[in-house]
Formats: sequence, C-alpha cells, structure tokens
Amino acid sequence: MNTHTMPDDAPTDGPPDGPDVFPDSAEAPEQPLDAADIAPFTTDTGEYDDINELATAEWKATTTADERIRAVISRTATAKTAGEIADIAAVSESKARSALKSLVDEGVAEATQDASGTLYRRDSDRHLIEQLHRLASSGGLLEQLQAVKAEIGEYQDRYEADAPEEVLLSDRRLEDDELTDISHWRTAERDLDYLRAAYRIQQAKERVHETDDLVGIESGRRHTQ
Amino acid sequence: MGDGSGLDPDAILDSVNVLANQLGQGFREVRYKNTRHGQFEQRKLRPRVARVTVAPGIHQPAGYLDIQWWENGDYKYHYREQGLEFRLGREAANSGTGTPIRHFHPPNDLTTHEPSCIEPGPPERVTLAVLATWWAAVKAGDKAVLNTQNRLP
Repeated sequence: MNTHTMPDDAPTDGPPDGPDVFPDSAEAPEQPLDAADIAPFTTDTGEYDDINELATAEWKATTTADERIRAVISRTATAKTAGEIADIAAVSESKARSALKSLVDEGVAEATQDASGTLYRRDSDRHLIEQLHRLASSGGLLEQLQAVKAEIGEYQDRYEADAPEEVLLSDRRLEDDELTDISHWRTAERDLDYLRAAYRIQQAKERVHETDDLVGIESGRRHTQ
Repeated sequence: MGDGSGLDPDAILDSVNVLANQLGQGFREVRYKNTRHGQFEQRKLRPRVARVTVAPGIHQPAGYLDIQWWENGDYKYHYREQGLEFRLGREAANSGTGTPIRHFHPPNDLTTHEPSCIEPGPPERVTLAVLATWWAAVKAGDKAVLNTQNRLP
C-alpha cells in the first residue's frame, strides 16, 4: 500500500480555516438584526454563570422528558443502562425507566439483559427504516450515488486498497489527515448502502403508486357502470 | 477529529434543529455538504457538515456556524464572520497528548488549544452551550467573552 506519503494531489477539505469564508452582504438580513431582535434563550441567561447549567436548563425548558429520552435513544447504537440514558437526557432515572419501557413496547428501543441489569439501545432495524424512508423522499439520489462512488474511488486509488479497514489494519500509525480520510471513506461506504436502498424504495414506491392509480381508474369505471 | 470513525448525520441534524428552534428569525439559512468535497446545498441527504447562517454576528451583520459530529462523540463547531472566527471542539484522540480533549481555538490565535468550557453532553446540550457562549459575545459585542462562562480558573 502506498500510504507512506500523501500525494500532492490529495484533495483537501477546501480552505476550512481560510480567512475569506464568511457570509457576504447578500446573505445578511435586508433589515439588519441586532441582539435585541432575537431571543435565543427562554431561560434567563443572567441567572447562570455556567453555560453548561444554562444549556441543560434551556433544553429542559423547551422539551419534555419524553422528547429528550426519545432523542437520546434514537442516537444510542451501543446499549446503555437506564441510569446512563437518564443522565444524558437530563431526566430522573425512574422517569427514564418507564419511558424506555414504553419505547421498547413501541418498537423504537430494544432491551437486553446483562449481569448488571437491563440495557437499552435504539432498535437498529427501525432506525434504519426511518432513515431510508426519509432519504427515499429526497430528489437527486442517483446523482448523489455517483458523487459518493467517485469519492470512494479517490480513497481506493490513494491508498491502493479496496476498503478503509485494510488501511486501519496496517501496522503503521496513521497521521491525522489519513484518519480524516478514513472517517470520510467509512462514511461514504455506509452512505452508498443507504443511498442504494433508498433509491430502490423510491422506485418501488413509484411503481406501487402507478399500480394504485390504475386500480383507482379501473374501480372508478366499474363504479360508474 | 473522529479518530477514524464515521461522520454522524443524526447528531448534525439534531444540532441544526436546536439552532433553528432557538434562534427564530436569527436562523437565516442552513446548507449541507452531502459528500466531502461537494458544494454546500439546501437539500440534506447524509450530511457531513451543516453550515448555518446566523444573524446578527458579534461585530458583523451575519456569521456562519459550521457543525460536524462524529460517531465516536467528537464534534467541531466553527464560527466565522468577517474578521473573526473561533472553534469549539472535542477530539478523543487528544487523550494523553497534553492537548485538551474538549478545546477552544480562540479568535486571536486559532492554532492554540485552550480548555473548552463546554462539558460532555448530547448534541442538544453541546449546541445550546455553544449558542450560549456565542450569544454572550453577541450581546456584549465582545469576542473576549467567548469560552468564559464557566467556573474555570
């Protein structure tokens, strides 16, 4: 694998820290806003000298405990205890236990047992289907598929490897920019799977709708006869 | 960032939602990069980064806040307006290096890693804390206020 040097033509993330990246005048509001025009916090910010306490108070003020647990579990891929989830969601442990039980019944969360008790995580199938459903309602999936494939091709050429795991398994310690490549490469591989599946769903939906429309026309005719 | 783990589009989108809900008319626009080297665009597919245009800025009419999250819990919030930028990040790979895991790149020297005043938490809480420190600077019209709202010595 040619991974000892980074070729000069390695793409970068553009000028991420360039001094010339900021909104131009066309992106600013026509009528300039000042601090008095917006109110990003419902909580009295003056009451807090610690922004972490303010952030927690504001999150609690703008959401219900159920909403917070739902948000946390939807991102929990590795099983956690009810106590850990309660901590992240800023709810009591007893509240977390009852809410998680409901989410398991609903099929959103999955419960497993280990020596320390019950562990919870998102239901991975349900999560995947929701993601695909959202993607399948987007336009431009084929174009995006091509773009992601091209991105993967760049990494394969650069590292002379088929998959990011091959590079990760090499003995050499990877540099920061190489780890960034690996992050994006893994993401692109996963996105390609999602995009392909979403595109198939989109096609299936279109066919089902066409069939339904035809059935509608047929039954409409029968009805009028 | 990310230490080789994938980008986390769910966390990125959840963070954007928080900003949209909190900022109201101060949330001007959001665009996404759906591939690493793609252009920023309005549609969101599997975003690698979100760019939110906010108004007002600290000294300017508007600013950009770029948001990224990784599956290992790392994140980067990069704020930019004309003449001023700062970043707040978490990088697990800094563990044991002498560079703080949760760090702040201050506007006057983006290459330094100061300890961040933001404690570990889910994307909603981290986003609200970033918003809080930005908002304090907007209200004061003073970038020196950034990253000071905590009990760090």
